[in-house]
Amino acid sequence: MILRKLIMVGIIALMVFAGGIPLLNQRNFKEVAVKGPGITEVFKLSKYFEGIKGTIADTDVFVFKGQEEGGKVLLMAGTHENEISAMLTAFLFLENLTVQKGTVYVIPHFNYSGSLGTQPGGGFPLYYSFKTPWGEKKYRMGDRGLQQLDQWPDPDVYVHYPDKQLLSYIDARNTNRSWPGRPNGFLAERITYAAMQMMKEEKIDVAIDLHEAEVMFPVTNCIVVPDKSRQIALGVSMSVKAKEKFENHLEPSPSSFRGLSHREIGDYSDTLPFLFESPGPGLDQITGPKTNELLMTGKDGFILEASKYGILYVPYDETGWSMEKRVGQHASLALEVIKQFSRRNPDRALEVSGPRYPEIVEKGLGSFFTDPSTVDPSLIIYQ
Amino acid sequence: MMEIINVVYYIIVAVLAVFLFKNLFKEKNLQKELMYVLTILPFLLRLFRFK
Repeated sequence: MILRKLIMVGIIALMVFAGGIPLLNQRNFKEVAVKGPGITEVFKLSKYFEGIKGTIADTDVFVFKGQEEGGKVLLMAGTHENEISAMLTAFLFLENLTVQKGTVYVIPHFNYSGSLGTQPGGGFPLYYSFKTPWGEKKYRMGDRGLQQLDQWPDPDVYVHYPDKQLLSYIDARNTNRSWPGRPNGFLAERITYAAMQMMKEEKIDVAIDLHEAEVMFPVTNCIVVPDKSRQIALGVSMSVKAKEKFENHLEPSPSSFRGLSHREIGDYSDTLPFLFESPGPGLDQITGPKTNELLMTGKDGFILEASKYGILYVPYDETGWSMEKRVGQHASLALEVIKQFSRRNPDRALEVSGPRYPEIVEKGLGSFFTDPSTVDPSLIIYQ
Repeated sequence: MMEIINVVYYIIVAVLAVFLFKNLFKEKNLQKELMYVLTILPFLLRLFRFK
């Protein structure tokens, strides 16, 4: 009998550690990037709100300050850490963006906690990767909200502050339902509060929130904006369609749906908000196995079948939606927003350059990343 | 407040895990022993902060 009990305990230990250690390793895995020539400073978001200092909510802010004074733009990726083209755009910019005039702030992991584990039951791989001329780049696959390890318990119903709108309990951990945030609220609310403080203190002109959405969800392949950002977004949408040959329609920010960045940043600050959604077939529920290949290529037989019934919101064929196209769209839209804003506001103009859609699609994403083993260790960034 | 609830939660998880182990060792029915093995798993995953 004692032997049987010991076997039982052995089974428990085996299952806990065989299943748990890969999760622990993923939580502690550091993504590697090389500091590009445009980065002039790095600081923590807690600079604007002490309430997140030393917590898992604190995150790095990379500054690209030009030689000349000008406007200021904040680019946030990783609001939803499972929408991977957003983070890859930020990492692409860390190594390739240069600013001649004005200042650009880039946050690669806005919801850092969310990047530390996948969606429970979602079947996603723990990591995603792509090839470069010198090897493989590997990143943590994250979840939509903060990890429950970091923000717990969930309420029965999430009551949005300050509008008191009742939202799903799960959105208490969602940094795109917690704007404009509050200093003593949930950790998600404290993150957005810190970002709001940053926008007010730094007088940020434009805030861009990068996302990715299912191809069976209507709000995909688009720019979501409130009225105050609409003219610029319209110019951006028309410009990329004419010059870079990709579609990206406009979606109005609903005034009755609270907590979203494109709604609250506009309502509670002078900053112009923009939210970009690239099409991410890997996020759809009907796909086959959630493999790295699916995440990177967007190719899936079930989605292809669905496209024949006209139930997708983007054009779709055997070529899928490659990461190059998704990151390329994000990069071009961000650069075009800056350009259009500068044209309309010459006193707050910025001059920024970085890779755009045609170049990224042609050369491949991997060609824009430097081999960390070939650079001075002081230039290595760990995220 | 959330921090206090969190600490209390971990204490509850630990206490329940101890009771589950105790019941596992007292149990004589193989099927029920296996049920305890499965039941203990999420408690330990949370206690070790794996997920």
